[in-house]
Formats: sequence, C-alpha cells, structure tokens
Amino acid sequence: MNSLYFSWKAIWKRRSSTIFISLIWATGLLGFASIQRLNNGVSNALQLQLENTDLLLSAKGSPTRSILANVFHLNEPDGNILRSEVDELIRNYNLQNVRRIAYGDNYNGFRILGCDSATWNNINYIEIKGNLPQKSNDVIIGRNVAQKTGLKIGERFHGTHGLMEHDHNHETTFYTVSGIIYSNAPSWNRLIMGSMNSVWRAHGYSDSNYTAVLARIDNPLDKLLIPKKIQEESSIMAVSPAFEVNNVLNWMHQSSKIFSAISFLFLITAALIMFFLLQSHVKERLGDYALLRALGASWWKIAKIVLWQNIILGSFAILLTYAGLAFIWFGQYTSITLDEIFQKEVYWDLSLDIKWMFACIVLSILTSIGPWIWLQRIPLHRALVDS
Amino acid sequence: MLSSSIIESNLNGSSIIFPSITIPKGELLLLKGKSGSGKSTFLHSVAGLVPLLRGHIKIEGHGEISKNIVPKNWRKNALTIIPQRPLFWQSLTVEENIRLSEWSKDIESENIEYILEKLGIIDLSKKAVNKLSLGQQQRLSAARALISKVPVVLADEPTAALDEENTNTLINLFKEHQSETGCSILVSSHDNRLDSIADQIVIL
Repeated sequence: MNSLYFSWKAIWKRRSSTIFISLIWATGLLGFASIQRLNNGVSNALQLQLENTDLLLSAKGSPTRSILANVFHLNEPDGNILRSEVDELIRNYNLQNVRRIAYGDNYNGFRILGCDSATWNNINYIEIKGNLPQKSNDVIIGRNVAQKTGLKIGERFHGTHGLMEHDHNHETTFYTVSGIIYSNAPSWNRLIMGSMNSVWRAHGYSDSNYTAVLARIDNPLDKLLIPKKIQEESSIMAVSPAFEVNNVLNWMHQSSKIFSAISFLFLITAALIMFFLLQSHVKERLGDYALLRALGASWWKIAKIVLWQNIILGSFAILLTYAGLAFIWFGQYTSITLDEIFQKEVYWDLSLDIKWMFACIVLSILTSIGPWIWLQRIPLHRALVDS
Repeated sequence: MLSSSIIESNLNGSSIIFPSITIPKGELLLLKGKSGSGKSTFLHSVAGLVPLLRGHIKIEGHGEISKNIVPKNWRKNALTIIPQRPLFWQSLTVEENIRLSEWSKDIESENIEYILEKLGIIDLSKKAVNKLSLGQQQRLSAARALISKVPVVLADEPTAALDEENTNTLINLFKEHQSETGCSILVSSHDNRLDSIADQIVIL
C-alpha cells in the first residue's frame, strides 16, 4: 500500500464531490477539445476540397456563389460556360489537372454531376463499395446520398429536372448505381456522379456545355496573374478559390479564438472551484492528516496524498472529456452536418490533446499548493483532541 | 529511556508547567489527575505536538525536544501514540488502517495478526472501521501503536471505553510488548485498574 492507494481510497469515499469537481474540469476541457476539432475538421475538409484547385472558371456572377456551387456543391451555379470558349482558354494557359464538370438533374434533392475522367481521379475517397462508372449511364453515389435515399448498388433511378427535389421527371433517362463512395472531403458524399455524356444525354444534348472548369496552376506568380487575365480577356469568370476560402478560414480562426477564450475561462473557474473545494476537503479531513502526522508520517508523505488526489481528479476530468468527445462522435451519426465537420482523421488525432492534458495535470499540481501550505499549519494537538 | 526536565508547554497562548519525569527502559509511568489537569497536553508535548516554552524532553538515542525544535523523525522512530479518541481513516478497513500506520512509519510489521488476535479483533480486519464499536476502535488504536517497536509508547486514556476483560487483555499486551521491546510506556488515565502495572505514578 502506498500514497496512491490511500489517495484513491480517500477519493472513493467522497465519490459525489469527486464526480462534481471532475465534471466542472471536463466541461472546460471539452470546450477546448471540441473547438480545436471543429477548427481542424473544417480546415481539413476545405483543404481537401480545394486540392489541385487554384483556378475556377464559371459563368459570370458572384465569385463566392460560384465557389460554393462548383467547388463545395452547396449552391446553385449562375449558369453554364461555352465549351468552345473554355477549351480555347485551356489551350492558351499553362493549366494542369483540368477538370470539367456539368450540372445535371437531381434525385431526391441530391445533385447529379457530370464529370470528366480528370475529376474522377481528383476525388479523395476513403472507401469505395462497388466500382467507378463503367457504362455511360452508370453513376457513383456519395455515402450521404445512399443513407438518405436508400439507393443500393445495381439499383436504377431516374433524375428530376432542375435542382429542386420535386421538379419534373426525366423518366426516359435512367441511371444505374455502380458504386458508393465515402470521402473525407464532405461534398463528394452528397453528390451523384456520372459521366459528362449521361448528363448531356438527359437533356437531349441541347445544353452540352460545362458548368465549371477547375484547374491547378503550378507557378505561384501565374496563380495571381491567370485569373486576372482570363477575367479581362473573356466572358468567363475566373476566380482563385484558395484565396477566397483562406479569408473564410481566417474569419473562422478568429471566431474559434473567442470560443477558446471562453473555454479557458471555464477551465480557470474550474481550477478555482477545485482549489476552494480542496481547501474545504483538507479542512474536513484535518483529523485524518493530523493523525498521519501524529503517527510519524512526514509532511512530504501527506503532501503526496493530496497531490495524488488532485492528479486522480485531473485524470478523471481527462477521461470524462474523452467520454464527452466520444458522445459527440457517436452523436454525429444522427446529424449529417456534424458528420461533415468532425472528420475521423482529425477527430481522433490524440496528439492534438497533449497541450490541454499537460495543462490539466499542471493545474492539478498547482491546486495542491494551497492545501500543502494549509497542511503545514495543522494545529495537531487541537485536531487530535477535537476530531 | 524517556526523561524530561520541568517543562512549560505553550497551549494556544497559555502556558502549563509540568514536573520532570524519567521512565527507564521497560518501565511504565502512570499519569493521573483530574480532567483538565493537562494529562493529554503533557503527552502531546512529549510527542512534539505542543510547543515548549522552556525545558527539554529526551529519548535516549533519538535526541531531545527543546522549545519549538523537534528532532527529525521524532514521531516516526522514537515514539508511538494512542490518542484519547480513537482516530482512523473512515474510508479504510481495519487492516488498511494498520497498513496506514506502517506506511507512515516506513515499517513492515510481522506481528499484526498476533496483536489483532490478542485484542480479539482479528475477525474484523476486512471490516470498515466505522462499523466498529467504540471499544473495538480503542483496541484497534492500541494495536496500531503496538505494531511498531519504538522506544516510547504514549497512551492517552487507553482503557476509557474498555470493559474489565478487554482492559486486562490490553494490560497484558502492554507488559508483553514491554518485555519484548524494552520500551518505556507513558500512560495517562483515570482508570485505577492500571495502578497495579505502573512502576511509577505521577499525579498532576
């Protein structure tokens, strides 16, 4: 039996106050940890979506709307761009990894996106069930589409014209699900992706243009100059999605700093409450500590008991924080929005937590100092007579 | 051997003067007196729990207390104390409370079971200490003190809650411990049953 054992027994005796103190700690820590995960998850998702996309060509309109529609697939595009004009631009500029996309119909509110082969190659997927499209009417669906619509591999469906869920059907054009993908870039999980021809065919080739073209530019200077030149020389809008998204990310980081500061306040409040609770805990147990001193235990031995108690409380707080994180993680399965924000690779990257775990243990040690000073002043005679 | 000069103890600002005593090895001194005469304060002064204004207290081989200066490891190596009220960690069992005493003194006793058996509480060793009667707690308090082989045992009203039979058991255990370790025992008590085993009686 050692100081850790006796500390544990003392803490176990006061289970309710132990849980109360740990919960207060865990609330602050959970605030920290979840904001950090939210930040990293969103940044990671945006970065993945922006991979190889230094240039976006689309119909003239709002740049933000165009990025949301054509990169993140969250909005309706402003229109189409002429194939002939785009193809000429692509020939004239030094662009790499050029991907052409065309918006088609929708199925139950999920968009059908016509993609060229370069787009297929650019999709970051973690897992694929079935195959990428082999035939002209094959489509691959994102995980969220499969979950919401119940579509399975091999099933056939027909699209609805436009982007609204209940617009009129194109009953003559059927699509067949060839595979289901799960991507860590969330927008792919919300799309139905087929060949460019299948989308054009659904409209009788009457509108066989592109909705947007995305490309990579390797030369850093060109990244700045090419969008400007295209804007000046053509009727096509050219924007740099990375530039726009960075502004959004900077704004997000500022907001998360405010939330982190609130969590930090929580943590400090928790530490103060813990400090005062421990003071009263030590006063309550004055007889116990006086007894140890009377039995011959050194001050350091008693201090170790207090220290272990605080470290156990801090460790409980860390465990409760992870329980809270696990709760959020499993809770997200009921909400697709959360699923897209909290990403597995980022969410369970425990190296992110080292700082706050370390801070928690340091606080545990610091909050022991008060009781240590108090313990040195125990009036042993009175404590033994009055206890 | 325990010896003290005339000492003046400082108890919360008021001073109490005690006579000099000497307890040779293997002897028992019984301290008697009315309630409030300072018996517990004297024992606590010897234990270094109450500061001295003057005088000194010496335990052979372990140094001496002089004024506020208590030698290092005084209560760990030089003496053991049975407090007036049986004090325990309520969160621990009987056995764990004994182990707590061992841990406090950095010792490992071989005679725990023997002492618990002698005092009739061996069957209670796994029981939570707050389930014991006052008499059982007093016996446990004595057992906790007697597991260590230190030169001085201080016992503050050790038989206050004990019946005739358990008082006799404790007296016998004191004698046995004394003959085995050669320790000096200082007992404060109103209990006349202890007069028969005392080598000296001091009345405060």
